Amino acid sequence: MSNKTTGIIGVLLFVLVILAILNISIGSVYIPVEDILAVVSGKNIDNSGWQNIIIHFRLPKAITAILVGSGLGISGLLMQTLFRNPLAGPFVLGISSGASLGVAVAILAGMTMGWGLTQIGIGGSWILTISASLGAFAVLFVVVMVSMRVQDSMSLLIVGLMFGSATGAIVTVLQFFSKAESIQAYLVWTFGSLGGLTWMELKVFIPVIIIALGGSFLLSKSLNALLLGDNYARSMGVNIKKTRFIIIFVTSLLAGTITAFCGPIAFIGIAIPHLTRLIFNAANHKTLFPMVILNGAILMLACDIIAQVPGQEYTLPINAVTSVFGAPIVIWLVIRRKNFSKSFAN
Amino acid sequence: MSSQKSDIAIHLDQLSVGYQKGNSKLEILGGLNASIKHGELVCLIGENGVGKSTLLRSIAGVQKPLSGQVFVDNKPVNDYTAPDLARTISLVLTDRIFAGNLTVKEIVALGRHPYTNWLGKLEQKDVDKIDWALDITDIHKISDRIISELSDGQFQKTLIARALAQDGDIIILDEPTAHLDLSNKIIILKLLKDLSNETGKAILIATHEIEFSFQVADKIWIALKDKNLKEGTPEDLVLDGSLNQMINHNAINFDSDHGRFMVNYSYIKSCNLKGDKLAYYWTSNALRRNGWEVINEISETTITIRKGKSGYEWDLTHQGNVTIVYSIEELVNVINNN
Repeated sequence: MSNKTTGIIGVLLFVLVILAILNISIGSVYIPVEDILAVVSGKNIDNSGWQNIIIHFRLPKAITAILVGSGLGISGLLMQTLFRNPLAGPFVLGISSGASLGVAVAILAGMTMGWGLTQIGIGGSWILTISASLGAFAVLFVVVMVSMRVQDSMSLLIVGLMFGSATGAIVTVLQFFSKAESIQAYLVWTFGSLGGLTWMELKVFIPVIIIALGGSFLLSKSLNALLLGDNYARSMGVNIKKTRFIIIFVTSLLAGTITAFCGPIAFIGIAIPHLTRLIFNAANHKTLFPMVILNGAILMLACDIIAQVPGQEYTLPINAVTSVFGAPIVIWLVIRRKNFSKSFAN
Repeated sequence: MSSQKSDIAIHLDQLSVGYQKGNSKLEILGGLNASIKHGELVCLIGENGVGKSTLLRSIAGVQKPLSGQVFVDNKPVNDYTAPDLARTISLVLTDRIFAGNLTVKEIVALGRHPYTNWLGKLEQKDVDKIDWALDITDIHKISDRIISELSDGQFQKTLIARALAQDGDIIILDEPTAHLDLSNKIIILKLLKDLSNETGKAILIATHEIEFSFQVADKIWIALKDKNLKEGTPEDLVLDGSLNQMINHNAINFDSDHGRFMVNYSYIKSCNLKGDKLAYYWTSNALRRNGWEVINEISETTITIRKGKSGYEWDLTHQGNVTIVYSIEELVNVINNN
């Protein structure tokens, strides 16, 4: 790794720490930085209310934001390299549509069968998480099956998009036959939420995301070869089918788990790899990986800070914030750098 | 080259290539027998769609042959493991490259893929090989440029350097000179010729540069429309008429005297031409383009080229009338008005 890369990573790490502290300190109640540092380093502070808020609400949410940003960024990068397509993102394979279908079935069908909202438990319940996971992994299973049958990655992309449309249509049909309050409950889920995870859930979430991120790092050598196209990669001894299988599996694990716990979070997955390539002019996955992980975490924390509308009681839907504040940044960069298309062609 | 290695780098044994869909086979080229020695440069020529790329892919082990076998260093290509084959054959393809942000050096370093550990860490011997490849292709000074900023010629050299860094005994190139200007075409072909001489690598190039390939290739493979492959030195192939067989179209004529293809005009008039070699050549070129056949017999139209004080002069004799002109442009105007 060059000195420049190490320097950039150092700066990004610094920004990440600052934003993480800001993220914990800002909210409906302002908590001073010293107290945050004290609680995080394991000490007790005088204000037990603050301590409670930090440990049980804000710290889990900050950790979730960091993992969601990194995970979505990496899965977007994996998809863009696999499909050599700038529009690819974590959800092109239909993962989030699958999760949405699972949740829609749980909420809409569940309510029709007479379950109340409290039984389904909107806001970080295991029923929603499990049904989203089942939906995501059902789609993953089919996509992997298809990926073993088709020769080229482009066909797979089309199949993924078709899956997205088909599952989306089923959700629409379910909505058509549902009551207003169940549709609203489903809509709330689609807004996305970083705050729903307790330490209980983080015990599952953290290891899954970290293992998947580690797994993706092992792919960096093959991904670099894939930048030259399938034919070159094959001629350099890369087993395309095996690599493609691992890429799809890792992406689905990341995107599926994140969607299951936090809802379908848009934009980050597509934008972070582009932002990283544009700002740092990088293409080599060994440097892209750490940068994408850090950038994803930073942007997610920043979006969450905005979503909390500092000093206010309410929070905006995180899904809206990522797109409303993220899209102008990407547009500005694309216009300013003018070399956007170059990172996808020579 | 190590001593136990055989002289033959690639050998095709009754090879049949094409596509298989279910039980139906579509043979594109069949019954092929040919070989390439180490240190030999072979150009594969043939018209569009005749199956050059299919043959290259089959030799490189990327596509399964319908029947027969490809031997690489005396071992069937399908018996190689993917990494072993990657250390033996490297490719230069026409595929678009996805990441314009990669630097020249990063692309060349990718050639070390079959040798590095799971992280792709470059050892000293890898760095040495990369430097050697950059040096020999003369792109060391642009090694930090990103590839989207390169000219076509520099880009092609980068791809060749990558193939060299992969360090196989065999390099297979698919149309490495397409899109290049004349001087870059020659530079690239000269580079490949020198490489085969100096490194003992077997080099197989699919190309449409028939005239240049005649100057650099040790052997030519002609992929013919009757699914056959004709193998021989360029000179033998000219003398036995194989080239005329390859392109059988009445708009094209193979000029065996000069080893080049000519536009075949249908002549309506003929004339006799005399003059020194250079002026004769270019005058006849202009005459042919204007529908005049140049013949050796006596004709009612005769053109004699003389060296005057301020350059060439053309004496045009037509039915006894003599006209003197001072440029080919004038000559063409006069004969076209008759």
